[in-house]
Amino acid sequence: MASIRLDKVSKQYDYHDAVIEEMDLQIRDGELLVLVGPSGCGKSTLLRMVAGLEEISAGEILIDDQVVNQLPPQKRNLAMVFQNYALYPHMTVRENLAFPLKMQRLLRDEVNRRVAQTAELLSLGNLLDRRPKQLPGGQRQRVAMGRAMVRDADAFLMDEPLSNLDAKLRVEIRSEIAALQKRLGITTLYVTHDQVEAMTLGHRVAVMRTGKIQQVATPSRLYEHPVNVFVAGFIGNPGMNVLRVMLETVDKALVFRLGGHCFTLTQSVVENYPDLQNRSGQMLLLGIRPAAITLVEPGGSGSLETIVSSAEPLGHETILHVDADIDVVATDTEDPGNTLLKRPTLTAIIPEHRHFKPRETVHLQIDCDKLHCFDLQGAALAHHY
Amino acid sequence: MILSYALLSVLALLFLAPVMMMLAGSLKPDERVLTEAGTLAGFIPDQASLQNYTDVFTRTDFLGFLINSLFITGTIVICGLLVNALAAYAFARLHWRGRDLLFNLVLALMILPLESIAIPLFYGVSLLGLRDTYLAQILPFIANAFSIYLFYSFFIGLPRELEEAARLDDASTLRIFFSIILPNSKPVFASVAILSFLMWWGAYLWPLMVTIGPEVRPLPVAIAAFYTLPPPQWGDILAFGVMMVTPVLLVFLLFQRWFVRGVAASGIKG
Repeated sequence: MASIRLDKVSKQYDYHDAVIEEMDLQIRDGELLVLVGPSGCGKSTLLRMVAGLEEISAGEILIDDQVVNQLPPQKRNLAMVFQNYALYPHMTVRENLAFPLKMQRLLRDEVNRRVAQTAELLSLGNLLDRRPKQLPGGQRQRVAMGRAMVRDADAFLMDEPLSNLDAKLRVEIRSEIAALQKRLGITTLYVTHDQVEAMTLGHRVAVMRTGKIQQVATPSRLYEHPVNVFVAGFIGNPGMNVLRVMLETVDKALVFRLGGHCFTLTQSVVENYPDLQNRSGQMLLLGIRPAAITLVEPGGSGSLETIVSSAEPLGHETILHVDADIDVVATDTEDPGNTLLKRPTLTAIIPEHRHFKPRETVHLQIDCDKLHCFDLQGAALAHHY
Repeated sequence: MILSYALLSVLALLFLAPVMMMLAGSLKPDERVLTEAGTLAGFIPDQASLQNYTDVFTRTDFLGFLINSLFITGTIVICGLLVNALAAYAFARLHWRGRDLLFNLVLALMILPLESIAIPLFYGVSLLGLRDTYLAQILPFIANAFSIYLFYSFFIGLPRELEEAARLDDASTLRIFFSIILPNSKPVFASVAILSFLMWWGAYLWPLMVTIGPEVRPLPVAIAAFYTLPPPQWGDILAFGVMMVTPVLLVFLLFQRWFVRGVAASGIKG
């Protein structure tokens, strides 16, 4: 096994802006680190640079503390699983699994032994004589995993390996990957744009945006303490609502107003964010997870009157989008404090299957104990954990 | 639907008519070939005999010319497949200085007809002392711009990940070409093989220029000489023609399935 370290790594194509900018990242020995971010953020490029398939423009890539910048892919002893599997179509499953071993000039008996071992581990034994196109997607994915596993690589690189599978199969293979990685204890760098995949698979998750890492943390920490509004909006399904409010002090309590109502920040929030006291009279961004918004009967104190924009009943819960007279900011811009959504929409998760009429008036209550505070540039305010 | 089938049938008959007439004429007594030409009887080989075919073998060294043609065309096709595929792979997938410039030059070569370079090429071959040899008919035509272009179009469409996976599996560039690219490129190899075979099987001008005696002459030059051999025997000439096109038809029928896929995959339209 091995550790992988990126030290100020950059990538720039001729006459274009850098797609990766001075990136530092450490993947610990035996760790499964997930790189997640929207399409085009540079995560696949980063993975390919680690693999050696793409040259780096600056910085150093180290595998087990050895600089590998100049090493070709085959000398890095990394195994990669591609998005489209990249199985050799003219070879049987057995030949696909044996190919990397033959390239290493292993003896035939050793090749056969390792192929059989891998096939057994992945339940591919009865498929060994089939060609990839005779296999369904899930089995192809297993073969691709097998080809990576068979050769005793120091680390796995996985480039969106589940994106071609249907939702049910994705869940199944995802848990298989997690179990295999745990069993083999192999260092794995896993790229995906699916935050559910990232949160369920990763020991740690690195959130990327436009060539820069925004935050590297455990899934729960990412969810509970996003460092900025981008991470807050990206992690969680649906993402966090971020509102622009004016913080005021009324009767020694910190309050903010939404839709004509006054909401008081709880003691625990004020204690978590010591800087809040100094921000009275200033604008700031408040993050509210959809699950921290509840549906209440009209007339209750501190409830927000809103109009249903759309509802997505999912069986066990309903995702509700409502229009309200509040300032909601876009989380994926450089200047969230000044980028308001043209149509201010708040998203809530109602923990029941329920139908709403279009334009129906509903009353929502915000759990003021679960607020996240950001400055107008979108960075989380200093806080205690 | 019916109309289009009818139209296609008429067109097929139009294209097949000369071939049918050649086949029927090759089986008829010599004196009936010209008198029945242009009539329905011209297409009916009644009282068929193989006399014209045996005449061809007795009047000329047909077998020798056939072997020459097979050897020359076969060598151009086989060597061309290897050389042009490797060149196209280097253009499509490898990174090297001047690649794009050279590729554009190769593409520009496609518009040059052989006739325009025949004289300088002839001088070159003469200077090398290769006149009246097989080499003179083979060497200049192994590398072919159109073949490179066909291979290039196909290779550029192959998933890059296949090669990247092989590179990570420790395969060398040549190993990737022979173990991964080549087995997945059968359609384009079939297309290039057929097109090259057709092109060089019927080549006339260049072999006529560089050959002197019958020893290294291919069939197209031989049939022209046979045509002028007194007395003119039309049945024999048609039999010669039938035997000359048979290998072409066989090659096409053999590789037809791959050929169509190859042409489709390389994005070439008729």
